[in-house]
Amino acid sequence: MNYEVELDGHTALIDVSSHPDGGWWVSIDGGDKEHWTGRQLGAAEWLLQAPSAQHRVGVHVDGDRVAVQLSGQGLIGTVVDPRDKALAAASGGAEGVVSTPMPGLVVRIPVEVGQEVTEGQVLVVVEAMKMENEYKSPVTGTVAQVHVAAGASVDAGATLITVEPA
Amino acid sequence: MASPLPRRPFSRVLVANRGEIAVRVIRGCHERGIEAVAVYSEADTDALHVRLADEAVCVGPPASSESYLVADRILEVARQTGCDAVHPGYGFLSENAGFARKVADAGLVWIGPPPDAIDAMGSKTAARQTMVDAGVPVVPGTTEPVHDPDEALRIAEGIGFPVMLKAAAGGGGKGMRRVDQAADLPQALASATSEAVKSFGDGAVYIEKLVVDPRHVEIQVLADAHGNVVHLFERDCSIQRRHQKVVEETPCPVLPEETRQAMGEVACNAARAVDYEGAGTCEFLLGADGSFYFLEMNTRLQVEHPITEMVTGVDLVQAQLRVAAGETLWFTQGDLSISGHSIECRIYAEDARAGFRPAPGPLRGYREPTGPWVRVDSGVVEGMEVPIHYDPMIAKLVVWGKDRDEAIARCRRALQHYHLVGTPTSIPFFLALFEDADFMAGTYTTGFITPEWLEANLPTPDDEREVGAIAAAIARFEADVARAGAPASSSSSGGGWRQVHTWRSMKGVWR
Repeated sequence: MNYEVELDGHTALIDVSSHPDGGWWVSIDGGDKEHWTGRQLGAAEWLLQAPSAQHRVGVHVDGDRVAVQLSGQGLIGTVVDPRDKALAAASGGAEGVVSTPMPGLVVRIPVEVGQEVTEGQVLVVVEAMKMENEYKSPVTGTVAQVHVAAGASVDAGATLITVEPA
Repeated sequence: MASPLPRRPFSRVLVANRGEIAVRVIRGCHERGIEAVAVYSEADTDALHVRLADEAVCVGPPASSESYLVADRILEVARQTGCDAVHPGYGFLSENAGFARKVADAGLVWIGPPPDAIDAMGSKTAARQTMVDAGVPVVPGTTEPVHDPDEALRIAEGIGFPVMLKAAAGGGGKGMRRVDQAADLPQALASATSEAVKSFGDGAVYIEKLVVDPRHVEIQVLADAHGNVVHLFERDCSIQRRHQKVVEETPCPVLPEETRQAMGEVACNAARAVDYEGAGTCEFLLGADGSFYFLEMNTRLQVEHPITEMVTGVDLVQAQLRVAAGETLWFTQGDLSISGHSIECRIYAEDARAGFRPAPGPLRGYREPTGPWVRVDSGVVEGMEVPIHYDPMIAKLVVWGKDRDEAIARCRRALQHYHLVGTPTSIPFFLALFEDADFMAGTYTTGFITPEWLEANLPTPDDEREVGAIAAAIARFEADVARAGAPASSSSSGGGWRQVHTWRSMKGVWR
């Protein structure tokens, strides 16, 4: 089973399959297969034995999203089946969709539907934890839809604004 | 000297705060046989302070302006639950003199300084004048708010550029502007004023000399209601992001003993000048030449108070309770000394790699490190969501060592043992900090954290990212196998198709 794992801006292709003696065959980016063993210990905690070392790793998988922590390094990323990703890409581009990675409160929306915007222009301002975060347009184009209103609370992953690329 | 406040023993304290400081106060109360009543917002129903209190009352919706900041509601809870004292913690109502007066007027003991002392230190311009009068060294600048650009220019040229514009009612870096040359002054004054109006409802701005490459060193003071004042030495809080502290240590690694004594005496004088009572902190800028200037006095317990407790053996929360109960200080300045070294790391739900961007999230896995001389003050438990409505601090990791090297080694170990899954944190920053030559030499200043430093020092080590990726793939594989109840390969792809199809038809219906 192949998984594309993106952590901290780096992507690795990990092949995982069941090992007949328990544990897993693991290979990274087409490298040699290694036999890893281990188990889940409790909430989001795994104890894994690699061929030469033991790793206590915090892992929580929620759909495609993953949170990992080891030796104090906390990493948030994605773990996807590349075939699912190909399907999602085929089902319509998400190029001009602006969403928020964290929950917050919409403070301002300085643009409106139909307005032409340039790449990098601020589209919406969301406040979380006493800080204002500006969300900028990823593309130059026209504001197609505004999905939220000023004053509204939004969840992590919520779509804020859709820009139709020029 | 008689205190204007009722100072008498009490048996049940209303803790008007949340998070780790509410927990800290509850601990102090329980150790003295005093009951503690918690208040909480709807966002904090699962929080640790609610669980540890003898009674807990919900005071409103998540927004602090509708819960933790509603003075009358909190006073009402204090009366209803039979409390005879109120501890405000830090932040929220802790430096609100009006609230302190209401508490006293209601016949309750206020576990904090007299309201007049809060007022005297609350406005930075007023505090400056009081300090000048008391012979306390202050950064050269104005004691009156400046509104007129021409007047501002004359003053700035008098004290010499660079200068700093600061909101009189300010804090947290809001309403602050560095100005390097005369031409930039009018625009900077206008924007600092408007930001001050927006943030504090008060546009008063004053000008002071910018001390280049300073350290932020503060002195803990403790005063009773009978005129006794002592200091508990310094804390170096120079490691800051967005003008807020992230790491504190004591003793300051570069402070000469005579400067420590001088700063301590000045801090005690500042406290005496406003008839201070309880625990308070005088903040100073320390110049490279050993000169120091009073910045402000925080009339409350500080976030970073534990490191002082670690090196002096004085429990500051218990001290606050005893002073508020009217006790005379049970030690003198001569009884106090610094033993060893202590460091605090503020663990924030922030992505250090993304310039400390707040990253609230659920604590999917959470277990604090422990072991000899490791202390964690926190208000969270596993499974809790770090609320978006408040400061993103999860916990304070505090360690003690017989010297600085031992404290750093212990701190690094504890950070590596911290199990905290679900949100990025500032932990990678601390681990990188403890590898930095300037930090290890102790020669850092308030300008230590820069985007360039973060860029150069914070990439995740390749080995750890690789192990993390493998662990993520294994966890996902097991989840896929468990869900499919069969080899994951075929069913997963079929599921993907169905999902896309459903999504498309739903979209059709909506349109």
